[in-house]
Amino acid sequence: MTIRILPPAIANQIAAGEVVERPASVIKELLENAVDAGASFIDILIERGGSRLIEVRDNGVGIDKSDLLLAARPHATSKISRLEDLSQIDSLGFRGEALASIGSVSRMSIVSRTKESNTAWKTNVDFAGHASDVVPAAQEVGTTVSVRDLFFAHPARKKFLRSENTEFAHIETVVKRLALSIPHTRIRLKHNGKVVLDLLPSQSFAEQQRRVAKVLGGNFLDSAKYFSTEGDGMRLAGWISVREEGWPNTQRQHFYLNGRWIRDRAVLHGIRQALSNMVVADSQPAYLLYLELPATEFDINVHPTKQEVRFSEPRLIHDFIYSSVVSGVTHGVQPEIAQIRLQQDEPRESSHLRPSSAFKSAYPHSKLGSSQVSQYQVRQQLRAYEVMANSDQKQEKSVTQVKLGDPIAQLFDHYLISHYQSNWYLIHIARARLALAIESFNRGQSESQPLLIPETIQISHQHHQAMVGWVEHLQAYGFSIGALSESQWVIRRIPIVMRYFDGAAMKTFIARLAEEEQTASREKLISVLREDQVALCQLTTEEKLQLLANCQQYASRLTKEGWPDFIVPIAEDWLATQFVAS
Amino acid sequence: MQKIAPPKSIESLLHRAHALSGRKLAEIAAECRQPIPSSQKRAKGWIGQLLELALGADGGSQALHDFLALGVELKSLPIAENGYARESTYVCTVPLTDLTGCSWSESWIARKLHRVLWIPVEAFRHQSLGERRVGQPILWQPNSWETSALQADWEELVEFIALGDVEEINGQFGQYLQIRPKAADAKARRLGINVDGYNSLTLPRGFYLRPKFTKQILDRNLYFVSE
Repeated sequence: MTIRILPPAIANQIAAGEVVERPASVIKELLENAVDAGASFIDILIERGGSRLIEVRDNGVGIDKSDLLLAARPHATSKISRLEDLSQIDSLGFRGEALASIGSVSRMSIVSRTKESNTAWKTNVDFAGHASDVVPAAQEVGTTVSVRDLFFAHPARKKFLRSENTEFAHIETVVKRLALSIPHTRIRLKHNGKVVLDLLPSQSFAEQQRRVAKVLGGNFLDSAKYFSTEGDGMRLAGWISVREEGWPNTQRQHFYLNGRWIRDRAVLHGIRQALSNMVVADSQPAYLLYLELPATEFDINVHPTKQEVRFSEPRLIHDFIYSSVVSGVTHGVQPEIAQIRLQQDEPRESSHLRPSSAFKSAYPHSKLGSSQVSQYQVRQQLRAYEVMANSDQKQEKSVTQVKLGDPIAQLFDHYLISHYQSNWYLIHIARARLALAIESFNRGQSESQPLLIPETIQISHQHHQAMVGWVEHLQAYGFSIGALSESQWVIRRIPIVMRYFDGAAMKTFIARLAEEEQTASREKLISVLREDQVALCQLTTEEKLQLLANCQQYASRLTKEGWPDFIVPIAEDWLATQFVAS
Repeated sequence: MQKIAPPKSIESLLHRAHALSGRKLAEIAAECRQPIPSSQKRAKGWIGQLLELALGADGGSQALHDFLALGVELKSLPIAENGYARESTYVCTVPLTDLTGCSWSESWIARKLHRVLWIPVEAFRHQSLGERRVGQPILWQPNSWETSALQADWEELVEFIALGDVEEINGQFGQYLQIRPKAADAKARRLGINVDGYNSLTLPRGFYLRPKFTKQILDRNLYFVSE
């Protein structure tokens, strides 16, 4: 079996499989392009359920002559140019797959004219995605894409198409979904020469209600409450049906995220939960809701058909929807107020697509930064701040003159090898610990740590007085010991520098002090400490790092006097002498 | 013996707790006139109750804190041979409804963990219940790292519950904080929210702190001396 790079024509057809499933998917892509072009009138012609002809004509900005050739090439898109743009998509289409995919499974032509041009230009796209030469044509400003004989060369796909009526019903659904997101755009849909839908642009709340009734039915609107809520950088507005018996199917479930129709589990769950006391359990809710969110807070690049999204904080969205709907269905909003709201948001550019102007000015470029501080923003900022604070701490720690670097290995239990840049060091673990302990005693440092379980030791009666004499002294160095009885003593705290002690060593150490005939003194303490044999074991990485850090500080204090007696730098020339040629 | 009055200040609570440290459970039980249960199975609850009694806790099981006036929660930590808590530590029940808009800082669990008096208690395999010694107390308030670690887990877990996926949660979720069924009786049921957004009955659940979390608290405060 050989592995080959697919010819572009086949690659496009595979991509088309994802994007172009049926005539309705073609319509969806073409409509989104028209909306992104800023059209105020979109005219759609369908013949034979879309299998004969799908034509979308818009009066948007148009494509200029030189771009026309590129328009049908795969991954040609005017909507994003850098990877970073993906996190801030506010146009409907962006993948640059649509036209090429459609072109590869149909006979497609594009006619377009920009307002700068005094003529329109036309190109035909062949199935490999190659546009033919551009020829002059007659048309007003805007773009017309005609898709003829969909799947004409793909009998296998064509077989999956349903009856003309079924395919047209799918088309109608797509058109209606889009129409609900662009209330200011006129949309006309014709099937086999007959006008099926003609939605006029709505300028007022009443006109918008009429449009909703036309698309979703008068009985939906009669049972629905309108509401609009805002908070935490989010805004939710729209109609929700409060009909007690609910609805038989999911056809009246329309949810728009920044103008894009989506279906999302968290969203649906929030709505159902909010209605759970009002609507019978085994019915479907009906709603038309618009959510506006900063574009950085969700990811729509999940699936080519872009009906799925990923929210960065799904619960926040869920809870916002839930509480908005609960308060919305309880209180509702007077249409007068709703109308004022709608007008405040004017003027809009072509559509609902972009977050409302009020929203935009509060969040320029969708970056959070309004003067109205939300819980959400605070949380995000705190997180960023914590990351910053942590990195500062790390920098502070590393400021010392001597660098012993990272632990590499522990040798024969007693030695630690460390390495920093081209320098290598051997560290004598027991001596290092002792030196560190003595230094801390000499400096009078008494930082101590309580034992998880206090240790009890037996001190014979004859040494009791001597032990009493040590109590205060030991306290100064960070020990805490006390008598429970004449013969039993308890150790509650030890100095942090002696944390390498195990239970037995600690008891021996204290008992040895009590046996000393001389009175308590620092010299005596240190001399007993020197004699003490502490069992060595494999250190954990954390212990190694801690030891190296302590040694590093210690060595830094001694730099003028050279290396302390527990650090041996490994010199390369010394190492070389160990390998004498035979 | 008569009931010990609640401590008047945090200092006096700490003083009492220190006085218990290093002592065996049998000694403390004798002073409080409490019989030692014969079965180790009952040990967990018994140790907690004994410590509450000896320290004068007045909160009871439904209250926010064990020491009401001081706002301090008491938690005993059974310590295994390796210095870790032997098991994860129960904090409180998991709310299965009314989660809307609830943030970490307002949550019951965050308020419970606002200030905790940890009391380690030996729980080595070879010991009998009475032989176990009480460790030194740690009065703990979560630092910013601990808070953000717990909050991150909490947000992830609560998201499941709020979106109706409570049945999906098992003990593997959460770095430091986990949710486990908490029912002495396997037939116990509580009201929750199901996948469709409607109320339905489910097992009661509890928030538990994993041993690796409590170990960090121990390590920062106490030195575990291996035998």
